[in-house]
Amino acid sequence: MKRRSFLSFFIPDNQSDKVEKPLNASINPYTKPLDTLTATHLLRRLSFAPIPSLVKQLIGKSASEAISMILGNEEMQPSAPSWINTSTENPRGADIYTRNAIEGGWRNLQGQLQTWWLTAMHKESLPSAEKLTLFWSSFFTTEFVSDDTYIPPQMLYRQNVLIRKNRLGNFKDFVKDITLDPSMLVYLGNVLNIKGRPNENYARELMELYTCGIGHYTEGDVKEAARVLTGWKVGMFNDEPAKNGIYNTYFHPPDHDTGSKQFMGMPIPSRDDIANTEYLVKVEEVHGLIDILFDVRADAISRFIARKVYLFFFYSNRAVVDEEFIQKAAKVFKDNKFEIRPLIEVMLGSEFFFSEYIQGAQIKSPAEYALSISRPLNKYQADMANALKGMDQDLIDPPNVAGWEAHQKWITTKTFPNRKVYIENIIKALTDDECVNFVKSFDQYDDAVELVKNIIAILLPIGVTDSYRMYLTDSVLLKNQPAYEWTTMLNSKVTVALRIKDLLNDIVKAPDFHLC
Amino acid sequence: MTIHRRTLLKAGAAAGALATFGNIPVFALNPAKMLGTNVMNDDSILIIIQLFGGNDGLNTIIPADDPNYYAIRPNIAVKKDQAKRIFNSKVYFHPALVNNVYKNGFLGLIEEGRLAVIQGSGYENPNLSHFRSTDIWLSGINSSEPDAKLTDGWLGRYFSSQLPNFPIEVPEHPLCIQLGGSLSMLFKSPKGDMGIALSSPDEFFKNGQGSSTGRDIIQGNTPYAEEYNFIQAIAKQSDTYSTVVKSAYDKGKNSLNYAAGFPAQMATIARLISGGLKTKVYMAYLGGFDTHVQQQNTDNSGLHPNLMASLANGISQFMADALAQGFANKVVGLTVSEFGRRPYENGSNGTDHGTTSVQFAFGNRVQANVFGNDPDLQNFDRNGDLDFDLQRNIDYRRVYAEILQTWFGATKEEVTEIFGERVVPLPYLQPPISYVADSFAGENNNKLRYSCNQSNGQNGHVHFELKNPATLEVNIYDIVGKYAKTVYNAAASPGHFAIPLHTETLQNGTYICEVLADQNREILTFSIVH
Repeated sequence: MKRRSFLSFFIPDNQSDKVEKPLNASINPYTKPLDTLTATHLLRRLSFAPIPSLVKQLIGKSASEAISMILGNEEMQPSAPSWINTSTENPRGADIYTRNAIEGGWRNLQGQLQTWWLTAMHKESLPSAEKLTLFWSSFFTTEFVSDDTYIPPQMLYRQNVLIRKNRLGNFKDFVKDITLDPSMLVYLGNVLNIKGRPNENYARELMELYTCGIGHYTEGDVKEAARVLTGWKVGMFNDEPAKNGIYNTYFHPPDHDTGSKQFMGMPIPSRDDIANTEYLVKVEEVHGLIDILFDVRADAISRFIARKVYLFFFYSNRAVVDEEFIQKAAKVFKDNKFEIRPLIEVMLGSEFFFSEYIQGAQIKSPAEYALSISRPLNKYQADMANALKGMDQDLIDPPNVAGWEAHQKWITTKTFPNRKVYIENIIKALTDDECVNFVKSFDQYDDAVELVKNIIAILLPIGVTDSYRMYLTDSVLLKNQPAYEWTTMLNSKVTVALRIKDLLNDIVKAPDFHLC
Repeated sequence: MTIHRRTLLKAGAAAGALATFGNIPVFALNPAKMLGTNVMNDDSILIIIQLFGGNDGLNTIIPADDPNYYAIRPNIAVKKDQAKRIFNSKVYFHPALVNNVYKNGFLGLIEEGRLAVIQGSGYENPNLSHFRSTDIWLSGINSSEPDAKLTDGWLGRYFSSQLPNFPIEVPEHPLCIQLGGSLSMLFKSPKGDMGIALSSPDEFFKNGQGSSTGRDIIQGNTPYAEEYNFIQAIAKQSDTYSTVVKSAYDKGKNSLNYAAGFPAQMATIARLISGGLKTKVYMAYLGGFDTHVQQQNTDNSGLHPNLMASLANGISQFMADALAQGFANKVVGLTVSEFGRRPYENGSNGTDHGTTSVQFAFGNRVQANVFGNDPDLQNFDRNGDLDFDLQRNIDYRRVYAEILQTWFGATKEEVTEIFGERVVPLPYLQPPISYVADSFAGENNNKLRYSCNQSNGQNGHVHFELKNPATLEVNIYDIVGKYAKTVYNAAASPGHFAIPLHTETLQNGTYICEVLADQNREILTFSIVH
């Protein structure tokens, strides 16, 4: 008889579906002035890794003031990459060499697009646009496709601009824009949706993934919505008609189904040829369809979106979502006619958001993880976009239309070692000056005890035990010399660099460095 | 018959400490929670070789006796006098699978009884997208809903069904290992990943070692504690798996020098097995089969022949190594590719995306034969592709069901659960040696007999002799392996049986009769013409 032992790794009896539900998920405004812990919590979730200068600006502010400072008012658009108006011939039908050259060129540009965006995330201070842009980009998914169906990076850039513009605006208007967004039209096959030969892909996802969710529409609604959405094309290549310019959407009247439709019980009248124009079909049918959807399914849509915000910004464990909290947030969203800003303000300004239940509960996405070291160290790694792929987050190229599953899917035996080695290599490569500059970014940096306290506050979500903090200070940073020796050590860049690297290495090894 | 048992150890505060692993205490688990014994069989290792891009079946197994083949492929066909005939069949190996390949390549293997050829496997309503079709092949689900999301693999689902407490408890060795790439859908399951991907054992060790965080677990059931402890667990797995993989790799060896490229992946797998790694499934990868342009020259050299030579070399060298090192009885390998290619060559001396294709199974325990019908090169589907004809072709899930049922010892209920419907295995394997306990009298392949004494197809019976008491079950499937009905299911004593198949209720066609005596299975094909 053979026996073999199985091992288990260090997990106590509670499993992910056994996490306690929150006791008091209050949506009332959090009224205490922000301190270091709550200010860094807000920055981690609504922006990216906190850096000392930003934390300082938020301390003492009320939650609602701080949220306004982070969200800002102005349009925030980093300057565009140089290649966004370049174009190519259609690789479909071209010889293999031409095709390889075009597709290879796109893969290169896609890497540049990712780097452009990551750089913006790395650099952003207050106000901050990138986290919300990442949220919506993960929600209105579009994959980079360099074969079969083509979605060039030039077009994905335009989608990123559209998302950024709408990130805090009206969600209904956002849906209207994304519906006719060129990348989306191609990605979900609506460019192939033609009168008499419907492609229902986008019509279905519009409801299932982007607004009301499954169970709130019928197959008949899908069919009728698909008919409404017929006739839209995208000019992508040099040899294609690009009535509205390249990488833009245009209307092709013969492909539009002009017959009358019935969507969610509401009529959409037929039109004659004279009325079969881009402007009228867009306003009366495409926008009309979305208006009906938002009128008839207002409750489902507001709940669906409040839930998405909760999963992304609060806690991504689907097993313990507090439905009562979602319901209250949904009411705010609906009462505000689907304006996104008040939804974010109320949800992230709530007592629940600042509670211990939410603090430190979220597993960092690979982007959050990589930025949580690049930002405090003010050191952007040129290979960040590629490194994220090794952690299973290929930006602007999610695995499928449902986007990244997030939560515990981020951490596997493949991604965890890649995460670990990525950070170790960054720390290893720090120059002496970079270490010194990092130290000097903190107030009271000449006080070893305060310095360690402040570094922990920046890097770990809910602090550490006193004994671990003292170990970091005495054994790791000071190497058992008296605390007053730190001011002397500060005179030697080499010593500072060695000690800071030891300190960072110890901190990033902790499981909580993967949490935010 | 050997009984294979494994005990689970579990961390937790339940029982007393039994052992330590590293510095982590491990505890005995309630025996009632023990893993299913089937998955634990030490003597069955599976290797999946993914041929990405869509392998051209018609230029792999050459229908050289069919004049239509030469009509549709004027420039890229393999001439009959250069193709290598398989036994006395009407099909031939492409010479690149044989000539200049280690020990005569696939011809050598099939003559030694270590290679099975499966022709015409595929699925209904073929999808010609690389990605969707790959998903269909790896998930084992051919959904009639084209937009249905396929998210996990047939092997992932199987192993997750065998590991009720995953990921709280995980095997001490990784269940599945994929060489290169990010983890395939094949190993994904609703409970998480049932395998790990690594580029090389050395690199995995380099990155994974020391991943353990060295922190204590946190008590309580807050979200923070839950996620913190989850990350601890994965860190520990990374550390442990990278160490066990590396240790097996260092302990293992290869008894011969493999060629570079794909064969080197097979060398790594052989070395891990030889080093005692208990991994159940390995996945190797060979890309470049998307041969739209200039796939081969008139002398049978070129892009596609190079791929075939690499494939045949890797497999032949692996089998020679396995024989020399004594683990050839324990391994079975299977190739998969997302589709075959269009029968008509295109204008660039290449072929475009197609439908059904060929698969190879290798190992000491395969039935060396050609399974499935020769391709019909006259009646194509509306795209001009090989028609997936229910009467002629092999549903790809039958190939998988054989692995699960015969090789891994899964029950037919488990197989049904994994594919969502009952699928009869294609009998190209013999069970692992430790499983063999013959319940039926008679010669191999001749243990069942069919009789039908009426010309109208009524009153068909299956006849056999049962040697030992067993739970006896007789099922009927249609020719592609879809379950039709069960005609007998009861405990039975040894003796002669003649079980009525109630053929009068079956429509005209060819059927498969499956007779199960406990885990022993025999299969018979019969036809009904009313």
